[in-house]
Amino acid sequence: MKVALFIPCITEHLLPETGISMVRVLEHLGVEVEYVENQTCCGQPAFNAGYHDEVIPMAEHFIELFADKEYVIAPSGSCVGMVRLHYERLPLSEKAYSKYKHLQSRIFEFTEFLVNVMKVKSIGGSFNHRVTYHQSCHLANELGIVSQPRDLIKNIDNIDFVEMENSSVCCGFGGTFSYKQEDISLSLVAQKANYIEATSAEYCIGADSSCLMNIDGYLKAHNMKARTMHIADLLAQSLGL
Amino acid sequence: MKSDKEIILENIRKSLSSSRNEVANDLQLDNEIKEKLNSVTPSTQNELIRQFQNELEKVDAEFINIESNENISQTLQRLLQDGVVNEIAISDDELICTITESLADITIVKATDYEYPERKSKISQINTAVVFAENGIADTGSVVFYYNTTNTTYPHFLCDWTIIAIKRDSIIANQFELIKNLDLEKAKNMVFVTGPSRTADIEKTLVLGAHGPRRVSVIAIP
Amino acid sequence: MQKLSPLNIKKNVTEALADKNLQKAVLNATASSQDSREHIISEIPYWEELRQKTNNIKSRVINNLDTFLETFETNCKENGIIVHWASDDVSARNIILKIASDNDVKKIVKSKSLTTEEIFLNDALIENGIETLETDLGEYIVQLKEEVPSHLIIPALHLSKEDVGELFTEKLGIEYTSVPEELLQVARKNIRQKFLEADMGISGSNFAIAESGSFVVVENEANAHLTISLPKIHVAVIGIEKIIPDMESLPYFLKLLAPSATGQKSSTYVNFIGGPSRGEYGEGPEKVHVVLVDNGRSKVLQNEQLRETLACIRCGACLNSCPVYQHIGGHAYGWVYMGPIGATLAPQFLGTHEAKYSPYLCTLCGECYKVCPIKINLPEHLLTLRNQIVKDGETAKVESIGMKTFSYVASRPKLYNLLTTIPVVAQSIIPDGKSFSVPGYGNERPLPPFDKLGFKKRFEKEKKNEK
Repeated sequence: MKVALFIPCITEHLLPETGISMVRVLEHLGVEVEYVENQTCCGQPAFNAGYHDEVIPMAEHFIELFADKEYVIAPSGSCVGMVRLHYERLPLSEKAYSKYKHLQSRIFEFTEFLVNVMKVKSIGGSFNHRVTYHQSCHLANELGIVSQPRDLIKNIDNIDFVEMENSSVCCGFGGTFSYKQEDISLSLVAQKANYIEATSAEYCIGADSSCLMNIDGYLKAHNMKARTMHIADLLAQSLGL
Repeated sequence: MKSDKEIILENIRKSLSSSRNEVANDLQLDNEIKEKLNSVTPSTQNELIRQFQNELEKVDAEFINIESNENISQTLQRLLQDGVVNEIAISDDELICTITESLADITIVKATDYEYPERKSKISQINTAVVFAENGIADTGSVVFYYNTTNTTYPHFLCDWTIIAIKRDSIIANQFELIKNLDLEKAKNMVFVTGPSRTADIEKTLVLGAHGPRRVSVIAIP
Repeated sequence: MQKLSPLNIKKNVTEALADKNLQKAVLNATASSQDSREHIISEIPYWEELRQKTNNIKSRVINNLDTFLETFETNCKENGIIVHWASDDVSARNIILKIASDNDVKKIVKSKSLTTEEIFLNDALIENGIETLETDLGEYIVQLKEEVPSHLIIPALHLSKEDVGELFTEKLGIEYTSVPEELLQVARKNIRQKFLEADMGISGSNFAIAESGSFVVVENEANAHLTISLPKIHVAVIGIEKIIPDMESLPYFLKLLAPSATGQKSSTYVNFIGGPSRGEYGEGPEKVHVVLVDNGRSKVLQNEQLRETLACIRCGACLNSCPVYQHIGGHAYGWVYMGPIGATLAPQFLGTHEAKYSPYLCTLCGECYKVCPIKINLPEHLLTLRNQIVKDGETAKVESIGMKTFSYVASRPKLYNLLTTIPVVAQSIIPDGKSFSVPGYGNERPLPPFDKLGFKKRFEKEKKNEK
């Protein structure tokens, strides 16, 4: 099985270890991994801010790069949601659109790929810490991915998994919302941080780096104990990779 | 000068001129709803009445079951005595007139004996009402009053305590069933009542008896 | 009365976030509403089917609104109801003022109707010397406080019981109490007297039934029933989108409305009005007037996708589920309708200039779509409206240029790779390995630093090491 890596811009530039962890876990499971050159960005930040025309060249570039891949995997629910759901409503060229339709059913979020496609719920690692889980909005509400990350976490040996209160409430990132409505965004992330603290977890696991980056920044700045960890990093660490 | 009606209709037609979206028929959807609704609907009248009672009690209303017609007035008398009631307002229904006729030491004020506007203030001064509900809806614990049989709703809404007589057989499973079999004319002026009036407008604290009745008692008769 | 405008959103939000009492009140109320809703829905196995069914029914009506409105009018007239059409708020107010003056109306009682708030009716009546009293407890409180409602269903959600206690002491001269039961008793007594004296009752309507020429008012307090059955005139102010085809359609909507709005299985009262009751039953209104209000609704029909936003039944579930609403409350939105549906309707009713901030009061989390009983795809519509705002040039120039640049660069990989090395280099100048402080990411929530290598180079290293 061969997969092409779709590396979101936040992962590429700010949190690349997550991408590496995902590669190591996939290879551990016997998957051949390919990095597609010339990736840039799926265009989500511009799209969500309302700049739909501006997204078209980025989308057509993306489609061109990934159109002929058997599987395209990303460690991000919101990026996959962008491509799978929202590219559909862009006025793409006819050629780009037909290539897109081929791609649409072959692009997956990482945990979705492990559980739904590879049928792997347990990767056989060990992690002796208390963790909790933040359910990212696009992951759950656009892609319907709710149980997959939890199954993967629960099946790690020695892990102490505690659900936080309101695990599904938005962390306040919302892309450009985080700076356009900075104060509301901070109020939301503060609430999320409090929920995390109430579990006494050492790590808050999630499947979207944008959410995790948002939460982690707040936790650090307020001297709170917990830190965020992407599920790819959790799986890799649990396997000692 | 175009009338507002002409302007509005013209604007609507202009807005819809690009296309009027079509919706596929609901046949399959309707079947699914029907099946699932049936799966939660009791199959016997006794079970329906029990469901009606459960739902009624959930909305803070009382349910009193009377096995035989002979006991109706008796039960009503006792209920009113316990409530220290000496005056009641009643609706126009024949049944209510009959069962209240024989009540002792109770002044009966029939709403329709008073003209409007006097009817308003007269009934508003009375604490307790005895009225008749022509139908009940089991899955919500609701009763239905039709204006063209009660000829008034002032006792039902202006008095603090509504005592409602309802025939057990008139309790229907749900609103779908009720409306399916309802005369269109009758359906134009009616009201569904589900328990006492209430509000949670202050800090989401539930308080009964907002502007309408504070206490609702349903007497189910044969 | 304060003049609202969504142009004040930025200021409103700052005020709202600074008000800790507001935060607490809104969070508690919305959480409790959500819990009750979930509990009731767990007993309705055909909930999802109901949502699709009502979406279909509303779609059929919306796409044939002209025909349905004409049918409604014809059938209302047959029932003796007088029907008026108001193309905008000015027209609506004039119609109602004329009805009042034609009938020598001095005192009016109102049941809760956001449509009447939308057309600024109360001020106009009061300015014309007509005593106008809100009778719904929440609306009564808000009217006393000279504010506007902060929620579609719970108008005084933003106030604590102590706030209400202080308000009643100040405005009604009673001894202070903060016990809800006692406060209600005071209101009930005052308002009951007004009900008995009123010449006219003004209500809204939840559903206007075309086939039967009748309409429905749903409530819990009984104040709407008294509003429509005690005074000699009843005026119902009804947005043209409230139409449903027939009686058979109604139960689908009623089954969704109460759980979504208040977490009840059924609202306490469902009032059906099909004509003036005085003639037939000897009590109540001798005249029933329906005022059909457009005020921007027909324009919403222009966009084939956005048309769906007219299907809203004003239940408030989207407000309760919205993380942004939960933190800022309703006043911050600067308009009569708030929350996700308010943010969606504002640019369509008020224009993309006045409402340029409205659709951005949203993280696109998608919760509103999940809870909307009519399955209105609010996140999708908010994205469409953001696009309209961009196209109309209503976003900040700096952002617009930034996005165009981003688009240019991100579709040219070589340029993208070159430019993304700049922050890495620039960062090495910042001491302590920290990152840039950029808008949104300051001391409260710092960004992680740009990685020196980036994923691509790390991946290449990984592959090299493997060999």
